[in-house]
Amino acid sequence: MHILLTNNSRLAEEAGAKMVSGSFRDVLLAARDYVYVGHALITHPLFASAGMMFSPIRSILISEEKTKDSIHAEMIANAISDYDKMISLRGTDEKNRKDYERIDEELYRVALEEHQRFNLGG
Amino acid sequence: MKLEHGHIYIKDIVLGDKTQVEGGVLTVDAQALIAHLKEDNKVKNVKVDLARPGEEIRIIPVKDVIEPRVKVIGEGNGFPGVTSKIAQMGEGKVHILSGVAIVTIGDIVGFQEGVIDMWGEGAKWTPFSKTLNIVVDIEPVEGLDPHVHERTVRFAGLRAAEFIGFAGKDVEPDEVLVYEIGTQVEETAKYPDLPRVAYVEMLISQGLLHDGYIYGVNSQQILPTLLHPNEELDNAVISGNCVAACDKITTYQHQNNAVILDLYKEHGKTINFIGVILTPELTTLEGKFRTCDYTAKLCVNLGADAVIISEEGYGNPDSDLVMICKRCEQKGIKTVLITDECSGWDGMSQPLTDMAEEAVAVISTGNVSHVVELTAAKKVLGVAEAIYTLAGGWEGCIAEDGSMKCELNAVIGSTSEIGYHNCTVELY
Repeated sequence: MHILLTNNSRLAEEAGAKMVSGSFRDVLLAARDYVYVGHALITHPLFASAGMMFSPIRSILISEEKTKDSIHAEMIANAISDYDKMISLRGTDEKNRKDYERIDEELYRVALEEHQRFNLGG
Repeated sequence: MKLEHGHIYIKDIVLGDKTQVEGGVLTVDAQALIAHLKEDNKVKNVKVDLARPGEEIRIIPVKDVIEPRVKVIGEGNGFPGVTSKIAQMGEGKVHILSGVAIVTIGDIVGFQEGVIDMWGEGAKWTPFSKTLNIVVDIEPVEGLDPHVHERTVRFAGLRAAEFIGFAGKDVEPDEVLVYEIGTQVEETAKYPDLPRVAYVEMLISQGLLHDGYIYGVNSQQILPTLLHPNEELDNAVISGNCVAACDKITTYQHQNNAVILDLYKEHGKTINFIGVILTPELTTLEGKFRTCDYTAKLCVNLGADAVIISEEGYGNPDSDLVMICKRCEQKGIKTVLITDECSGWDGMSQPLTDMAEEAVAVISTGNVSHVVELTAAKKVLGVAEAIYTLAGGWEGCIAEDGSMKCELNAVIGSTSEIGYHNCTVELY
């Protein structure tokens, strides 16, 4: 099973969803808090393009099980630092919030399918 | 495999009654092109405009850029597996309308970026300000699912390139370039002492607006795969990605992949170019570990001494880039990475989200955060409002005279991670 940390209201009813009230950064911080007590990142915390950094919406899948692999802590810390660097000057794009919600949902569904296809059924 | 690129150098494009090439001038029958594209019942309206280098035209938001071509010898005209039936690509002869590009525009989501300025400061930053552009604005019928919308626009661009490319069928090329590399056994017998070099090309493979396709197969669905370099130079790889404007690999850039062309130049001289490995950039960490392990294994099994690795996008793909590098280096394979940087407005911040001590040879293709100033356009092709998206959340970026500031992020191909762009390095 997995935990879905998200501030995307379209995913509120998804299995394992824990809604985060706040921004993309707040979702990153919530993921960090889980990772720092041992949960693993299932999906990478960041999107795949600089343009998507301006999204106000983000969903991250993490494991319910705990791990001792330090790569997850390193990855979430780097992600937060990178996010802060990108967003500090330009800010999030609130005008297109609904489109970001839609794309975030699409990318989440691909990630979930990828996770379930290659792993233990999610 | 042996592939011939017959270049027909086009000096100008004009609109007219018949699509043809005469004396180096391409005439485009816009009405016939529109009718052809509207054969797809998902296409409601199409507008065709021309944009030439130097004209004060801004094109926005750009979805893809495609080079018009026609196969004159061998099987597989068009984009097999996508717009035509499947065929083995990489062999035969292609006629290319060199200097011409199909540029597709149309907003699928509100936050799409991707600007091409044909003049002034903006033109300096995109390679597609130098091409004679046939700009195809595609409006699909209402109510399409975003996936179908994206596919409709993608297919329309490819079909437009096929339609225009056909004009070169019976034209004698100005120059013919031959790309020929035999089997591994043959090439190694010819060049036993040259280092064996593979090219790993990473593709964003993460979902809607973040996909690449190989013979029509979404790269999300594959393990890393080996191609002969000629296949990519012959329309086997296309782009379905339209959010990472500065570093997305457009279909045009796949067709003319600068890394492949450069490796070809050195093949038999300084290196033995042993093939292209296309590697998907997945979203899950397990997926990333699997593809990176698998990529390194392919490099080992090919007997590679060195690997050039190019990234697509920024953010989570940085991890794949670094992991492939680490795995190859640990197996004794030298690596050179090609990536852009996200180093802040002043260029001083850490450039990537991930790093490794093994990454000792890294080529930067530019800073995506670099700020450029674009003057007001006389004519905008596409969605003029998209300009404001470029400015998202950035106070004071548009001046009273209509000029604006934007990051290279938003400029198509400005920091191409396969090196098909204008940025270079200055020693000082």
